[in-house]
Amino acid sequence: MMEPSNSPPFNNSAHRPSPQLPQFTQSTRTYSARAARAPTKTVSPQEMAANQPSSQPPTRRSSRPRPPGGPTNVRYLLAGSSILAGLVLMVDVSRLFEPERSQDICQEVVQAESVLSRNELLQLLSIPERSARSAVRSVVSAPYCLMPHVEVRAGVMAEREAYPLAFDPETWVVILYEGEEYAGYAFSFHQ
Amino acid sequence: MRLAFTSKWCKWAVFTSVLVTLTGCGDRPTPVQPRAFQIQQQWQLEPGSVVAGRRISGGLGDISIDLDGGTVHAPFEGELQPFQADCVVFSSPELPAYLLRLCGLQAPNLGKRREGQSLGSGHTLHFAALRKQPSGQWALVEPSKAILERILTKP
Repeated sequence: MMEPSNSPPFNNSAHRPSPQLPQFTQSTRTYSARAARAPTKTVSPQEMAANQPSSQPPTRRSSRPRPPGGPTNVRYLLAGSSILAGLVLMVDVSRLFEPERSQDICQEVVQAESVLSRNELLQLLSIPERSARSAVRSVVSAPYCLMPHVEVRAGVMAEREAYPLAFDPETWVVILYEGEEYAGYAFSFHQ
Repeated sequence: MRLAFTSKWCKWAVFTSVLVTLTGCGDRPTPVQPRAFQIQQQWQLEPGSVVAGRRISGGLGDISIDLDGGTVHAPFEGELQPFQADCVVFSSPELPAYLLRLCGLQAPNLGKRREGQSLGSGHTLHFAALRKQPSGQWALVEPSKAILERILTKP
């Protein structure tokens, strides 16, 4: 074991022009020590012992053949990085880059306590589009807020009013009027 | 024994990879469902129709805009869904009673869109505004300059 012929790594280095294998298998400290020693073809037992990692018994390190799958350090690195990547991916990274929800839909708060009850909502849904605005106003109270006016149809300015649902405050109902005509409603989900 | 130790780590790595595959891809967005609705005005030739071997790209009721490769933006927060032929439909909870039909966009950005985000780009855009009718059908209406400016300019 103490002879160079019985310790393959060290024996190899003596015959190889460039010591490529040790770059991956040994620590930097070990490699530099060996590089300095490269012209010497024999290695003393003391030097060998000094070059062994302290956690490994010298006998096992030198006599045992290297596992075929590659160096152990690389395996640890792969396993560790896989686990790290797994943890990172389990947190939905894409959500971190999503912009915040666009600004509040309200332009002007009308009645801060205004909510739409279940009953009011049911009555609203039963009103056909293009009914009179007064038909809607007879079943719902004043809105929580007004949204900015918008012109979709040429020459017609649409007014929009918003109500949070009493039983689901994250959900808002937006009602659109054109003049004295009720045009329709939509549900807006606030996150 | 050391070999067993490393193979245990390898098993963990494989297990983690499988876990990542199962959980990481779980949130992948599902394909956007096409929007189906009936247009009140029915004409013989509509976008997607073929006459004399040529495809109709815009129909009566469309405003055709020379985009010249330019981008169309979401006028509100909403959703872009496939419709018929090469047309897509934009709807928004902030804009009840209206649908916006856009034909001619190349590779439209389907799905949920925030206000100002790109809906797609193309050479010629055929744009139509549709308003909901009491019958449940949608009527083609004349779009305003304001809504066209809103989709053609980035806020």
